Amino acid sequence: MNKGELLHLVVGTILIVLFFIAFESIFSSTQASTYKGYLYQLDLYADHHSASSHNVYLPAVFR
Amino acid sequence: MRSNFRHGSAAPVFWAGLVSASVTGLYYYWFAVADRYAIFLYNHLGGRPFDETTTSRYWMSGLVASGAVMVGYLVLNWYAARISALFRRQYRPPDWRQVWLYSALPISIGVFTITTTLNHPTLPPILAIQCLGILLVGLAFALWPGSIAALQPARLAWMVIISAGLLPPLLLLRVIELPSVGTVSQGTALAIAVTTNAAGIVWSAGAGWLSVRIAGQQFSAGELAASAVCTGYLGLSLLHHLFLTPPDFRYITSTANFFALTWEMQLASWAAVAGLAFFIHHIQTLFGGGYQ
Repeated sequence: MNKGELLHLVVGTILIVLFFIAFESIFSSTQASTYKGYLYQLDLYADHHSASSHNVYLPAVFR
Repeated sequence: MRSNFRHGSAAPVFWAGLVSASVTGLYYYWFAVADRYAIFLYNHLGGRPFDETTTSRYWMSGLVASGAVMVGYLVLNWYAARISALFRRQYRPPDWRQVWLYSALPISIGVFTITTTLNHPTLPPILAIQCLGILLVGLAFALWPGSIAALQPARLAWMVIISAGLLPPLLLLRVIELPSVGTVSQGTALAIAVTTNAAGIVWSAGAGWLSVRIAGQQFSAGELAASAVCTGYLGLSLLHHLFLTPPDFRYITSTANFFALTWEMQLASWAAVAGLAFFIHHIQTLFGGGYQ
């Protein structure tokens, strides 16, 4: 077994996982909070899950 | 796009099968299973299923799907090469043109059938063909860097780093036309266009110089421009779909986030990208002394 390649494989895998975690934590949480903030503003947060999906409660910034 | 590699036996039919299954599966989910009101934002800001904005979301589905294929194809090819090397075997990635060719027919049949027959409303055939055309072009770009990821990952990394400087002309030069629709003021638009593009020129020139001096990596203008298309249109549209949308509405972007409002501006953006790519290639030739 080539130990140098094993190191490449492990380091590469860690970098790939960290890359996705970073995007997920930075961007998704920002978007989720923007969205939740908007629902609160409309007083819709409590019941938006039960609302029809045909009512799209999204701020205009989402395009 | 110039290819530096000996392509080999890693069954292009296998990869084509994988790509075809992934793409048709994704389209089946988007068009037949998922809530159209979330994926294509029907009703959002008065959006209707076939208005201009929603139609552009159908078009963009091809770039988002290509972005997903690109990420998966790069990662799998990289793993295939590393695992082969681990056991002292040589991995020969398939020629991307063969993979594209073998997957084009099943994808065409699958995507056209799904979009024109399933769920409601179905796409008119002409719109389905437009979406398919964009998807097939996107897939060509998505598959092209697979062999570089497998055989020369460091080269791929340098190419992505340099071509990041080409993203401002590709995506942000067009902001100068936004004051015409009242989105931003003239001064702000001009400031954004000038500063980001100036930064892009400095970044790509600096990175291009570094790559040739430190790593001996030199790129053709075509490779740099194609890399910018992969990152800017495929990667960022996928990133938008996955990470820049609210949890309940993982929607597909409209073209307005990526393309100019007029053909003149769009062509000017592409010309600026091509011009900068040639400029970077020239710098690399000047300091690197020949193509490697």
